[in-house]
Amino acid sequence: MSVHPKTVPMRTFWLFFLVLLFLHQDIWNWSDESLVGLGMPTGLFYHALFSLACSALGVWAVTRAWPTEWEKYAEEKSSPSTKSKHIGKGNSEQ
Amino acid sequence: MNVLLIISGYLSLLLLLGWGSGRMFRGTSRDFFVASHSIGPFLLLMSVFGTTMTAFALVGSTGKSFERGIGTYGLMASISGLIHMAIFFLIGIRLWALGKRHGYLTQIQFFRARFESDGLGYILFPILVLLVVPYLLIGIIGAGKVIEPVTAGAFPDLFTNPTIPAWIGGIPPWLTGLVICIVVLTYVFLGGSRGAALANAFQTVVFMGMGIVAFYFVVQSLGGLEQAGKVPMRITEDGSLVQDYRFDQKAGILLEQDPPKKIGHVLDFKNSNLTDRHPHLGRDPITVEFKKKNPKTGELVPFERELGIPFITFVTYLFIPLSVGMFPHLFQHWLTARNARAFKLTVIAHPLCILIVWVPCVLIGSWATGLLPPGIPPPAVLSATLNMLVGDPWLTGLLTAGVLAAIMSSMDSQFLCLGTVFTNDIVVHRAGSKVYSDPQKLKIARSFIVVIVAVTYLLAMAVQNANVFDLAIWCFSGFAALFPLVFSALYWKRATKAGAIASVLTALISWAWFFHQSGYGGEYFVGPGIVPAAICFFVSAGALVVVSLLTSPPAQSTIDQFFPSRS
Repeated sequence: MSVHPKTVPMRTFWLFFLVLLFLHQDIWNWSDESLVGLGMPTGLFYHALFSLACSALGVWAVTRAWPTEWEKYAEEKSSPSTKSKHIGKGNSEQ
Repeated sequence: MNVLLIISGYLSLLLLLGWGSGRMFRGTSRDFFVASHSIGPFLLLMSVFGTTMTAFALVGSTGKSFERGIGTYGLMASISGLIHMAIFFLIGIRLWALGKRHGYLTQIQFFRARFESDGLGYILFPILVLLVVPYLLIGIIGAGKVIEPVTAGAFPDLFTNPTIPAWIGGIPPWLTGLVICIVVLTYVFLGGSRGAALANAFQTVVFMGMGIVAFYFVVQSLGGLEQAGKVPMRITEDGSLVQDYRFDQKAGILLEQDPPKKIGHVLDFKNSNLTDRHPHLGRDPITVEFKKKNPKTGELVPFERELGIPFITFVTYLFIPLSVGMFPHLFQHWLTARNARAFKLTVIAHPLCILIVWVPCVLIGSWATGLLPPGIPPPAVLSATLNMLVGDPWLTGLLTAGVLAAIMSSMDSQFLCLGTVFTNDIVVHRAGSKVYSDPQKLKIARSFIVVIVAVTYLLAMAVQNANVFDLAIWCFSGFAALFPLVFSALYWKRATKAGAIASVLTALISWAWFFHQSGYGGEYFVGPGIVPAAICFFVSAGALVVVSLLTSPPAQSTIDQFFPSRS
């Protein structure tokens, strides 16, 4: 069975991830000490919004790029070809 | 005394919860170690979040913000929201699937099988223990620092040797550490990983709720959010650092100081642009000098501090949260999930939970710079602020219970994880699974946990004044250096046993070198402000890639097992 993630959604996930990684480096607000939303300093308010964006990416990931294949793989019984191979004596109980 | 009553009540409640979860315990080692894969979405979110947030999140973040300002949030919290979410999604689900399918109980079992190496497990075990111990240390130290100021004066005849003179009669850190270790040990022993997950969930709700309550009362005391924003220390036209306000505890109001109280000065003050700035509300690095009283001699001693955050430090800090991918206790929590869908809530809500906990703490830390003496130990900033601004003993007791909840919700998972790893990866692995019965395995796990807790407790007493935030960063840096191991195990078929061993050893050596350079746990940067974790990460990743490419690829059967092919 296929356990490969859907390629296009995963690439999109990585793209969004990299965009957020760039947005995190907010050098453009570095020296700004003014108070904005809810009496928060600009730099903190920006990063609070950034946290919301991370959560939004999480929503996107679980709805559009969810690894259903891995979910099914976990629930299947091991076939002889993929039977668990353990190293050492102790893990044979698994 | 009321504070103590509430804290005692809270600890008793936890013991009761442990007793309750003990009644649900099925008596098997699998139930003790991974709760028989029965944990649903909400419990998984709460236990994973509660585990990753410790004294570091509440006590450490407030203290760091007191030192460096609001940049602390971007430095650790918002980047963790992104990186943790991605790790849960990209790594957590795969590890859960492989663990469920092949029956792994520990991280080391997975790595042994993936890299076809028994020896890798023996190399990893002491390293994981070595890195978890500082994580435990910060919990014990953090708890001691929180309880002492809020119980000051309770037993003036009994506890006569406080950390600072004003805290005479407060519960000393050695006693706090001892009590919370015993409480956590008790409920972990009674309920195993299910007990830890239930206690985690309960404690996470408590500390998030109490955090919000604390923030509300602090804001009220300071006269609202807008007014609170003006409280942080300010730079005057001659480069002095001043506090414009003071808090009248009797009247319970914030008063303007005229003239402002001078508490320090900017070093090399040439830049007139700094006049009237509140350095803790921005991130420009500024070096300043303060004075603090020597508790023994009463003499004022000058000390330097860098406010703000260098940009290169901010950028390279993104490597620190990678540590989550290698936390052995988190691996164990992932395995407790009932199914993959249980991860969905964690992926979505984890960044929001970070936001809820960290933003108030960072704001309180920056506001406290305008009210507290600059020489106060950073781990004590949160409780000292609450004590000053909130005052009411019942409320202070509840808020302190919230801080303890955050601390204990991490310690339980770490205790449990160390017992699990030792039992399964060392004792049972060497002897064979048929040698020990389930009750014997539980006894071995519990005995090892007691030994580790005793050692950690003694260490915590020896380094009581360590900075909780910095110590945590060293712990995270070590795990972050090991991140290439787990990523390559899941995403690179060509990663080999020799490559994995080379990666682990180079991670250890580079981390140990920088740790030594730091004076064993202090804040330390390389060159213009690069965090050591970034360098350790690249060294470890480089060793893994180079050595893997120079050695034979893994057997096809191994690749089939960990990279199931398309049908």
